[in-house]
Amino acid sequence: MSRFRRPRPEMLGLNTASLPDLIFSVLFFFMIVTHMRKVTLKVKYREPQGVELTRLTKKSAVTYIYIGKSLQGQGHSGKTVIQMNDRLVTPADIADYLSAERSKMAPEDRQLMTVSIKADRDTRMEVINEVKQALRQAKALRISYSATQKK
Amino acid sequence: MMFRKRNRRVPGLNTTSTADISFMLLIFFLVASSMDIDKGLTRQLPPMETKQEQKATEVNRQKLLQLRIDAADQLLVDDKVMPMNQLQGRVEEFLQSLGADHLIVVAADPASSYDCYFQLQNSLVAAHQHWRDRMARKIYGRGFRRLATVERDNIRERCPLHVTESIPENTKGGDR
Repeated sequence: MSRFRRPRPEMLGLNTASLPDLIFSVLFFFMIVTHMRKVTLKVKYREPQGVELTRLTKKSAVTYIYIGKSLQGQGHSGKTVIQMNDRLVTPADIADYLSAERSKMAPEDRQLMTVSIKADRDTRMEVINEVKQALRQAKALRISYSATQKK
Repeated sequence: MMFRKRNRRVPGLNTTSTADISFMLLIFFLVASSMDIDKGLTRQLPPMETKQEQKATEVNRQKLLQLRIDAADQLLVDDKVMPMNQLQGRVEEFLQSLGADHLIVVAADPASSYDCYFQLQNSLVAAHQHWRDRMARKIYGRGFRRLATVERDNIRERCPLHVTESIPENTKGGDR
């Protein structure tokens, strides 16, 4: 028994000097692969699922239009609304918004300007058609129907 | 001698909390950013034509494929009901038999759902890509993705996809 009572050599503390560096590298990783949320969503949407999807590469040339059920307001919650840049818009406003967006873009991005339509899957085609007509009017002809990949 | 002795030890900076600080930053970035990659079906809209440019063009009935979605989200191909999962095969068959000289007419009822329309677009793109891939294999013996730029352009020219969308007149007005 006396063998176990013998005083043990003192345990060395774990060296945590490199822990900040480790966490910093994780931080930088996340800063690179993610992008900041630019808008607070006022609509609720579930994107449709597709198979033949392409990735939108040039983020600076993409403008987003959110179409879905309204999240706020007792009176018109559940109604289909269109959101662009933190604001709920009507189809008639879309052309103005798009030309404002276009003027903010760098000249080389203007050619590649893409409008990503993030629409709820239960939206009626009536709304989508209106938005598409507005896009045609605004000469924003490259569009992308945003979707999630079907497994 | 006395002076030198007193100055020998410099206390190290306590850096224990640096990890906590960087953890805070990490959590902030996790919350404030989103990782979703944007994926979607890229389509090109036709430019808005002025009234003068509008010309009625005669298209041979044989070279036409009519896809219609009615108000009950049913797909009608040339006025016959077809389930969505058979559409891709039908379009592929149609494209292959006619080649570049074809026209697909898409019409969606204002009351139909976006999901249904999206599935239709998805099948169109899938059918087109399969056709293109098959053509690439026939000519160059490789898939479309593995072709050189010049070859790819050649295939693109041979295998275009002509889709026209007719938007019903009564979209204006009405409640959303």
